[in-house]
This record gives sequence, structure tokens and C-alpha cells, in this order.
Amino acid sequence: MTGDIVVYPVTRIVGHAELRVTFSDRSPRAEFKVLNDPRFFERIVVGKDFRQVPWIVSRICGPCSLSHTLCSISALEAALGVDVPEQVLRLREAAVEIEVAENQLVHFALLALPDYLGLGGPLAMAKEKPELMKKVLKLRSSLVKAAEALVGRLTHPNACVVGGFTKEPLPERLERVAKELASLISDAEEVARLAMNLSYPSLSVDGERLLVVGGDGYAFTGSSLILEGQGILKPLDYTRVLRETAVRHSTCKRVTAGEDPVYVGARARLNARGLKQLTDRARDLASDLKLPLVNPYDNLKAKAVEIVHCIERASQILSDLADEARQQGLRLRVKVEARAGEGVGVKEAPRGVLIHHYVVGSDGRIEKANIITPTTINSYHLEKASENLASARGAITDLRSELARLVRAYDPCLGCATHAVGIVVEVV
Amino acid sequence: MRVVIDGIEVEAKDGETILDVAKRVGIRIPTLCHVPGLFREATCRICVVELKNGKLVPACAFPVSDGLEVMTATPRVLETRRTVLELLLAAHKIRCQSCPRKGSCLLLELCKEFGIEGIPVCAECPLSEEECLLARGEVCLGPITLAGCDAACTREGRPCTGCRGPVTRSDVLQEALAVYRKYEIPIGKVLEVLSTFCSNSPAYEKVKRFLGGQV
Repeated sequence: MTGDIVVYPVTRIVGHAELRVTFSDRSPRAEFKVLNDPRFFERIVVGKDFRQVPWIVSRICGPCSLSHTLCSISALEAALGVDVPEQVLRLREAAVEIEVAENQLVHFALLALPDYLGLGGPLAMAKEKPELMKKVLKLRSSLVKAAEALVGRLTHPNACVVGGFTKEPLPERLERVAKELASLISDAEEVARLAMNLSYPSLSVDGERLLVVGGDGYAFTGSSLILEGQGILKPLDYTRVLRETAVRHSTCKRVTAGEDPVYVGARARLNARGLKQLTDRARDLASDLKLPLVNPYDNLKAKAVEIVHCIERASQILSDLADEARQQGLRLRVKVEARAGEGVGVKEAPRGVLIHHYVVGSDGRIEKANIITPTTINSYHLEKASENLASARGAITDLRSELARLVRAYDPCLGCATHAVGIVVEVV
Repeated sequence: MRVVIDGIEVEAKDGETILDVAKRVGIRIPTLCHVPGLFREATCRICVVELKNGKLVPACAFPVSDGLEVMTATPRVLETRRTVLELLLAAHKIRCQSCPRKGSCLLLELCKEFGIEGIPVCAECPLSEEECLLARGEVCLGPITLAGCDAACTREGRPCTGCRGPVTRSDVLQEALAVYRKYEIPIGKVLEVLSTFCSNSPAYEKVKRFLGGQV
């Protein structure tokens, strides 16, 4: 085949995108081209009072604004030396799990699944499979309501502040949410099962290294990082092990561990934690999976497993908290004083490891900020995977759509990366 | 007798008002104080229309006469209605939460129609005076922020951050200033929080001049 294939934009991803694969005499080369201007969040927060930071950085991303809010809060709590009660951490974990379930559900069922059902998109899916569509939308709406009961609203949550929560949810409320979540599991399982027999090209990326947040069990919040080949690291060590470099073709930085591509997200989490850490229903669902998952496309399966896991686990956490609230009450807020310090917050956002790093002055104002989002980390891995896919398949006619599927399997969130990606395949 | 409303010739009876005739031909003139069959006091003046001789008259009370020519939507009429609404709002304590209509009323609808966004978040805030975040010393932007979010943040116990942008009506700002003084909240802090989401807007500059200039 000769000539250029240009697909613009890549549809059904969060944001706009351009990916260019150039075929020359040697192996194909893939480049993410960023079309958007940088959004300068790291600069915007400098000089701001620390209390304002979570509201500002929450605006980085619509779908995972809770993750950004909580990650900045934990970074600031580390910087200001605030010890929040353990119950706060558990309530945050539950809220994040609801957010992750919602994100994975929307991405898997509405954005990625239509490809594999031979449908053009979610609208075609609504027409052809109205029952499935209704189920997905009903699940999503229930998840959003559950999150709202805990953090005020899911997009730009307003009950989370540095030091805990503004309001103590009543035991009845916690119990109601826990019950509601438990009632969603069967439907979620049914949707997630659709992922288990998807077929896609076999693909792997050599030398890839997984990066996850360390924590108890299959946790999404934690206070350490685990990098394949390096073991458990302190959050601040990210500056040592991860290399952020500016690249000419993109305003999105390239993140590598040494020279190796790093991958984060559902596949990395499932590989790192194994099936044992999953909840019962999620483990049943994932029993046929062979770990470690090496194919980037397997991210979809891992995502589907997480939908069930997160709903079940959040329900357990909330019903425990409801019992505690009834017995001795919850302690969900501590006082916070401004002081100088430096802190790094790490957490698992729906798409992978999110890192927020702040230096706070003695007046409580931000002096320096650095934010690394999962899509930024994944984008180099995606470039490598695209190159491998292109060299395995050659410049075939459907490479364009296959590459688009691959991009979708990564679920890049370009609002987060503050950048954009489309696909251009060039045959030179 | 014949009258002309917005260029449409209409047959009218003796004793009818401009409003009656306009209704019959489907021309909408907004009303607030007018209740058919009760008084014709014409106190609110929102129904103002323009006569051919340039006079502005209240449509609900002005009787038609033969050959009368009326225009119901000239720039002057619309501008006057805007002013009327602003004057009404200035005299109206907007406490939608404690009002039986709970924020769905003709006055608010007209404000939307005429682009008057003069209602602060405090109007929607469910917190009582004792619970007010300002009384606890928190820098809440409720008094100067445009309502419409149903006080999503204060409802959760977090101070308003002004993300919807400020109200620029002078009377609201005047009242806000009094509230901030009452609770001894430094205006500098208020402006700092306000700058988070709208520091480059003309509205911010206006509020800054207004609040900053009077301290």
C-alpha cells in the first residue's frame, strides 16, 4: 500500500488527538502531536493560598476531578504535616473507587466497546442494543449519585478540603449508599463480562515497566510508589526514578524510567496486585485472565474487572464506616495551619498513577508545583506500542482504525495531559 | 375604533386597555402587578410600552383610543423594563430559600429574560444565620457571586469560591460590603479568592474597584 492515511480526529477519546506514524526504510516511528496549548496549571497555582489549590487543580480534568482534588489534598497534607484520621482516608478511598468505577464504565462500555461490537459508536449502540445502553446509563447515573452523597458532586467535588471533609455524612446516608452500590454489582458484572471475550491483535512492548501506587490490597490511595525493577519508593523519589523530558514534536512531556517506557492504569494495577487482592465477584470475573497481562489492549479487560471490584469494595468500606459512625461517630476533619514544607501526593486515578508535588512557603502560599498525570506517563508507551503494531501489521488499509482502537485501549485523557492527539499514518 | 400595535391594525372596544388588545393579537407584554379583574394600579411598570408621540405608558392601565399607535418592543421600552427590574430587585430582599415560590417566580424569569443576573448565591444558600460560614470567620463569596448553582458548595459546608463570577450590581455589592464588615472579613481576602476564577474579567475589575475603593 502506498500513500498517506489520515484520520483526524481520533474519535471516542477524552479530548482531541493526533498520532503520526511514519514509515521509512527502517522500523515505523510513532509520534504524538500535541495540538492544544499547554494549560499552565503548575504556574497558575504558584502564589495561591494552599486552600485554593484543590479547587483550581480539580479543573484540570472533568472525568477525574475527584482524583486531582484528593491527590492535591494529600500532597498538601504531606507538605503541611497534617495527619488526617484513618477514617478520612477510608472515606476518600471509597469515593475514589466510585469515581474509578464510573470512569471505567463510561470508557469501556461507551467509548471502547462499540469497536468490538461492530458498531460506529455509542449512538449506534443505543439503536442496536438499547437494553445494554440503558443498563450502562442507569449504572452510571447510580454511581454519580452515590459519589454525590459522599463528596457533594462528582465533578469538582466540594466536600473535600485539606484536613478532611467539610461535613460528616450521617450513618443512614452511608448505609444507603453502601446498599445502593451492592445492588449495582450484578448489572456491572453483566456489562464487564462483555470485555472478557474481546479479540484483538497480539501486541507487547519490550522493556516496559509498570508503575503503581503502593497500598493495602487493591487500594487506589496510598503513600508510596512501586516501580518495576526499583521496588517500593517514597513519593518524593519520583523525581529520581522518573525522567521528564520535553520533546520537540509535543508540548506534552515524555516520561521514562531510565530509557524504558512506563505504563500505568488498570492493566498495571491488575498486574501489580494480582487476582488475590480483588473482591470475590471481581475475582470470579477475572479468573480466566492470565497474569501478567502484556498486551496493551488487555487494559480493557482490566478496566472491566475494576468496575466490579470498585463497586463491591466501596460498598464494603461504606458499610463498615456506617457501623463505626453509629457506634462511636466519625472524625472527619482536623485543623490545618499554614507552615513551610514540601509534599508529594500519589494516587491511582482511573487512568493510572497521578502525582502532585507542591512546595509551600511559611505563609501557606505555593512556591513550586509539579503535576504528572497518567496520560503523560502513558503517552511514550503508546508511541512504542503504535510502532510495534505498525511494524507487525505493515501499512495495511485498516491500520488507521486499528491504531485508533489501540489509542482507545489506553483511554488517554487529554484534558489531563493538557494536550491533544489525532492519528496520521504516513507512508514514505 | 382601530388601534395599531407593532404595525398590526386591530379593532378595539371602548374601555379596553393596550394590554387587553395586545393579548388578543398574541403580542406578549410582561406583567407583574397586574391581576385581571382587580385593580389597575400600574405600580410595577414592567408593562411599559411606547406611544407614537414618544410617551412611555403602562399597557395594563392605559385605555385605547381611536387611531392610537403603540410599539411594545422598542430599544427604549426594553431599556426601561430593564431599569424597572433593577429597581424592583433593589427593593426586594432575595431570599429564595425562605420564599414559598422557592426560586421559581415571574420576577426571576423576567430577570433571566432581560439578562439581569443580579442575584447572589446567598439567596439560594440553605444555611441559617447561625450556620452562616461568614459568621464562623470563613471567607465565603456567597454575597457577591452569581446564583444559579443552588449553592452547591455552601450546602456541603465549604465556603463559596466565586467560580460562577461576581454580581456587578452596585446595590448587591453595597449590601455585601455591609455583610463583610459585620463579620469582619478582610476585603483583601475576599478579592484574593475572587481572583481565583475570574481575575481577567471586567466584572472582577468592577468589583475590585467597588469593594476596594470603599475600604
